[in-house]
Amino acid sequence: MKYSRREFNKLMVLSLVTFSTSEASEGGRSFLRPPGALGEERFLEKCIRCQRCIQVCPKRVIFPLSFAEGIKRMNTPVVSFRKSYCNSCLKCSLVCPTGALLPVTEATLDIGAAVIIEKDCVAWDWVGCTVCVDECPEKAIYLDEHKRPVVEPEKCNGCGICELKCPSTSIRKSAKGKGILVKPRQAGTLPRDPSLHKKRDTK
Amino acid sequence: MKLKYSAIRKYVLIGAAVSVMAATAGNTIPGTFCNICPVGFLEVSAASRSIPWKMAAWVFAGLIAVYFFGRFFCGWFCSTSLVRKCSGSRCPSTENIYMRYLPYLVLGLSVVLSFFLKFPVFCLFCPIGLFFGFLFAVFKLFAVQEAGLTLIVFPVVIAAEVILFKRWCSGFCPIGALFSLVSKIPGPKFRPAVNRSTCILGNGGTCSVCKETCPESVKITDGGGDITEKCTSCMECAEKCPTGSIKFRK
Repeated sequence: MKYSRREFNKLMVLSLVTFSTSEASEGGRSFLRPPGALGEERFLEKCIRCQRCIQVCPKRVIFPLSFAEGIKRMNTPVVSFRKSYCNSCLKCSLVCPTGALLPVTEATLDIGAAVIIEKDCVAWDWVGCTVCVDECPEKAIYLDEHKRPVVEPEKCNGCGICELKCPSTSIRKSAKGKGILVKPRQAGTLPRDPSLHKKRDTK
Repeated sequence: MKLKYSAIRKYVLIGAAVSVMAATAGNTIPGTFCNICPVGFLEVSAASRSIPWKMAAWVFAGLIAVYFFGRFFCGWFCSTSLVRKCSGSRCPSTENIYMRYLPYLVLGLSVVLSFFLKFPVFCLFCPIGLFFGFLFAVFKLFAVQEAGLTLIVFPVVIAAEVILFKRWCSGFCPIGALFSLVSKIPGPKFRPAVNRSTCILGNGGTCSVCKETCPESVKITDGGGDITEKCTSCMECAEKCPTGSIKFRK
């Protein structure tokens, strides 16, 4: 088979289209990245998509992003608390070969911040559930005067225990998902304050 | 029965892929080949305008091995080689002078485009990265029961690149191109050499077994630069030579 000029041009056009679509993807932080991740722009520059952080995670919370999330982001690591939570072993931030994840300590660990999903949270319109408040190792969630959970983002390290343990879907049929989700810190949300860190006994 | 080079090579290729996934299951961290990828290193350096020093030592060690053994990675470890070996795909020989320089152009373009687009560009197409991406997508499927488009797209892209476009390895791959460049530095090389006194061609006969078995279609009996630059040290020629005239040596 001879490789024709037409085929070559086709390949080039195809690759250019790929570049332009990847360029079109919006900036800003919209994915939950592993501990110590740089800002989204810098992260995409530095991440070599080697999957090392995914391999090392003992709690299995880091996964490669699917092709569906954009060609520029595919295979980059994201955190998912559907089946597990982060025990802050911090190995992922240490093994990154390119510095897309920078080493963090337990006090500076900041994956994201938990957000109460009011329509799905059982305690929001019916008192009684205190699971997230009880489980939070950082004591970052408290109950207000109506016994509704409230997150203090400056204490939250985004470990995901609250999201993992939230029983909303098993308690109530109408709940579409978990009543509390860890989300990337949006503009306006306070950053984590390392001085408020609670020492944990167990890992 | 004597174990043949081609069989050993197949086990090594499969073993490399299996060990990466076994390491994942056991939470040890050898990483995928991306960790030591010199092209990825250049791309990340260009995209982030800084040098990832943690990677540099491994990349440098890899390139020193390439200096002596040429494109041995391509023949013995690269997942694309595994795909090609399993699908029986061989790179056809080319006389086109421009095609010879395409891999170098791709190498240059991927670094330059990475610099301007600010992300490692070739990694998007790299069949090695996509191969492991696919394995990790399977792992994800079992770990969180979440199936992604990745599971379909990656194998299709790999098949298009490696099986349909047969010339990928010697005619496109920038990693191979970088290895070829390093191989060009003169010095001691571990490559096939033909013993002219026993070779059928040297005795007036006709034979082209070595060229036909070579996955890169290198004309081994002609000698010269192609052997130094393109040979992947897969040793299939030495195994198939009817008179046993091909030996690998310094």
